[in-house]
Amino acid sequence: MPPTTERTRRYRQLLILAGIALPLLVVNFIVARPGSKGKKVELQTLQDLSELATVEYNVRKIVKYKDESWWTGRRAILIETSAILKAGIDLSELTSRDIKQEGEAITIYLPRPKLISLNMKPRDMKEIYNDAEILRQDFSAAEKEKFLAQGQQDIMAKLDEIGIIGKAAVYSKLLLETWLRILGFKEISILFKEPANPPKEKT
Amino acid sequence: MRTIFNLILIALVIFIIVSGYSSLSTLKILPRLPFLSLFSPTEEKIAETPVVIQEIRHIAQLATQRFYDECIYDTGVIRTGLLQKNQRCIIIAKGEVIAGFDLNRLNTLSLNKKEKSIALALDRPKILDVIVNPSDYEIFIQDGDFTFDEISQMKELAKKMITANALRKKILERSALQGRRIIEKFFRLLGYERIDIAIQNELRLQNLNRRQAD
Repeated sequence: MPPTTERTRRYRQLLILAGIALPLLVVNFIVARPGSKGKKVELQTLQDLSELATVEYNVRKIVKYKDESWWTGRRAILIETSAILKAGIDLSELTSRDIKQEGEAITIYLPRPKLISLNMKPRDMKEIYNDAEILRQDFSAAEKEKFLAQGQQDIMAKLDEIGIIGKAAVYSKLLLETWLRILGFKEISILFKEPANPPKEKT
Repeated sequence: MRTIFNLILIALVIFIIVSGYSSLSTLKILPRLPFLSLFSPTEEKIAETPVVIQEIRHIAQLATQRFYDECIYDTGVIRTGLLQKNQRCIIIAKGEVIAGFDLNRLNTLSLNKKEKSIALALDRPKILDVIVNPSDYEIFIQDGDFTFDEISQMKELAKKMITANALRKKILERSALQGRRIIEKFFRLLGYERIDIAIQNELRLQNLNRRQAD
């Protein structure tokens, strides 16, 4: 076969292929693919709880990130976040050995208070500042999520500093005392099982 | 000598192309490419800031049921025009719904006791918390630019899906049952032999569950 005929044949093949590919490309652009909006994965579990939350903290934290490079420039972000923390006691740990009664006197050994939940609601977060210089990439949603997760870890690391567990011990004791008084007990003593947290005093 | 010159020339051309592309993608003229993240430092750690306490509240919430779930929120393909890149965002959210009783309103009127018998009236259980924290979200796909508020709205929708699933699984009814068990156990430990617990609208919980799930 002469070379010119061969070349013409290849051009023709290419044109045919392009003729097929182009409409496909146009269709792909124009016709909307159905999204799987709200598709769910079945990983659902229900679990029994016996947690009595006695204190709620509302805290605020600024998530701040900045990096600078001499050749690409700076990018920085500031997000205001807030979290609701709840602490209290787990009543499932309360057994008959922890309660001693004698007439109108009662002594209860409560389980050690603990953090029950930390809740950072997306609607309570606000992006205050976000800027990337011309050679820098904008912050992606995944990056922002990573910074927020670091903020969450930081709040968890500062539980002792904000004193929520100590406050939960005081409030749990107060709450139980109120209930026991309603039930008619006159002499109430509430202690905690572990000596580190609770103020061991007799009411 | 000529080889070195050529290598430098190639490196310069690559640099100009990458920088040019990066600039154009920053200006949203061209789509973003993953390898351009080389322009970002690898260690990305937030700065140290204080945790400021805004409010401390005395509460009395008895959490009796926890529901774990994972859901996927997908915007679907959002068409933006023939010459622009389509947008899409897929978020995977793992979260928990906590149901229980608000015992703050418990008072002397709520209970009636006589020797070893006690009767207690409780409000019906409710959803106390829906928790999906930042570490529980995964931005699986992000094609195109979405604002912080748009992502927050998607996350809130994912939370609503998890709550609806919890209600469909009858979290409130199970919460009422477990609440009854805990309170009975507590009163038995205090020496009561006959315990009657009335939960407000308990019979209507099933309907409520169904309505809220819908």
